[in-house]
Amino acid sequence: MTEAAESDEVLMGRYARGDAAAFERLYRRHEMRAWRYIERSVGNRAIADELMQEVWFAVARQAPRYQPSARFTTWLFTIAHNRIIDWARKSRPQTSLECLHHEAGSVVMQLAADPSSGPLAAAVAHEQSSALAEALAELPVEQRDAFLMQIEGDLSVEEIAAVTGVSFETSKSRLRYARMKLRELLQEHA
Amino acid sequence: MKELPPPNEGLEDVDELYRRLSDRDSSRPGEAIRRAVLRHAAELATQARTQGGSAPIESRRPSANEPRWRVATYGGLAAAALAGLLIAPHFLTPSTAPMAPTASMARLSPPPAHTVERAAEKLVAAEKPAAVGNPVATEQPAAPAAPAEPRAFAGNVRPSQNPAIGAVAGRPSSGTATSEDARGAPMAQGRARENAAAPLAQMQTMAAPSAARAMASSPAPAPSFDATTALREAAQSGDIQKLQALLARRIDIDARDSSGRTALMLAVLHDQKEAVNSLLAAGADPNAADASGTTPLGAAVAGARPEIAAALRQAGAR
Repeated sequence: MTEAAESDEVLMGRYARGDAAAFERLYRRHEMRAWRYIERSVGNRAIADELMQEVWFAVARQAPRYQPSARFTTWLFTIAHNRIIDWARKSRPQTSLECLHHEAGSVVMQLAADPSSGPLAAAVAHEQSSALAEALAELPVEQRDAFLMQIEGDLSVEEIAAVTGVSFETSKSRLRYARMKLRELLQEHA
Repeated sequence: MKELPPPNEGLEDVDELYRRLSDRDSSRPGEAIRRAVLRHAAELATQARTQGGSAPIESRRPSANEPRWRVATYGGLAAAALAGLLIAPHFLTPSTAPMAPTASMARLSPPPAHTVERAAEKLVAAEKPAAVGNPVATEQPAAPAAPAEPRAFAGNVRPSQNPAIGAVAGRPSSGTATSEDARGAPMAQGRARENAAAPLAQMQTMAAPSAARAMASSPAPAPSFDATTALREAAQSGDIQKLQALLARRIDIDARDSSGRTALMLAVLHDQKEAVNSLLAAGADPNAADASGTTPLGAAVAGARPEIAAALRQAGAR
């Protein structure tokens, strides 16, 4: 089996036996998916960085307890989901997710803060990614969570139901309503 | 009621649109995060290698869902359920009630002993006045199965605690009880429940919780078994055997109580060195601060517990 073809579960097993390189491959393989899930859930990069570190520290620490019967991504997103909840519980009441999502600011502010972004294309890209962040912020939190788990983590409806502790039908409807709402919100970018 | 179609049927364009816009998002985790994570992972890998090239925790505490343990696990549960069924009637009534011969029958069929129902009714009656004073508790469904340890946003964050969640949700969250409420409510109602349902409590101690619930057959759910609460209690009391048994299950080792304290923090606070070592070995977060911001290391230092502080530092506590 080539290194590239090694499954997540195999890499986790190797890491649990002390192979640090296996962990690094695993990290790089899932870095962006985990990051997008966390960052788009909390809407703040500094907090997302902190949570990202916590999540992967937990993955490393708990590797010996990992059972291959559970898909690695499901396990990873379960840890991330729980860490996000912990963060939400601990965060100050006045720290609104909505505020945090808007903390990134308008396109103009982002461009002003980044003098290197001159080209129009960069401005358009900023605007579109901001539009996505704002649309996600508009979603009810349970719908956003379910949608991000599926689109970033590739989790099935059953897996999302298990992670979030709701029924299959509830998960399914959250996913469907999330997509319907996103379509409506992102209409102009379609 | 009409069943919903699959979640993305007719909405595939949304996923495509999301990915297109997502590709234009340049945000990514900081390089420092990557370095910190990989360094931490490398340190743990070195430890694992020096301990014989295999995971020490895994070898000591095989998970209960491993095939080799399934027979013993299910057998134990069935035996506990059967014992509960045999013993319960002696506590509940002087008359002889027909007994279900197996645990599976107890789960599938209505409770055979009318006296059990009577006891369950008493329990409900005892719980009702307390529940009025605690509307959150009335909304709380039975806790989900322990292995998955699911924690839903709405289920863990009350608008009163963090209005942000409710605000973003744009609607009142359904079932807004916290997991702590699930633990706290039964504690608050403890006296009334103990008085009214002592036999049922005894039965539940002896029998598997699911079998006891099936027997009660009451509209009010029996107190659900919360593995993370049990873990914290075991850590606090230094019950290593129980702690090890719980750690063998796939539960969130860093789950917190209503004050934000993890099992590790409670073990530190109660000077349970062995519990601290077990939790650290099982991967507990040595830096998990409580709601006041106190870290386990801070608590160990403040409590003049140098051995625990040393163990925490060795595990990466800051």
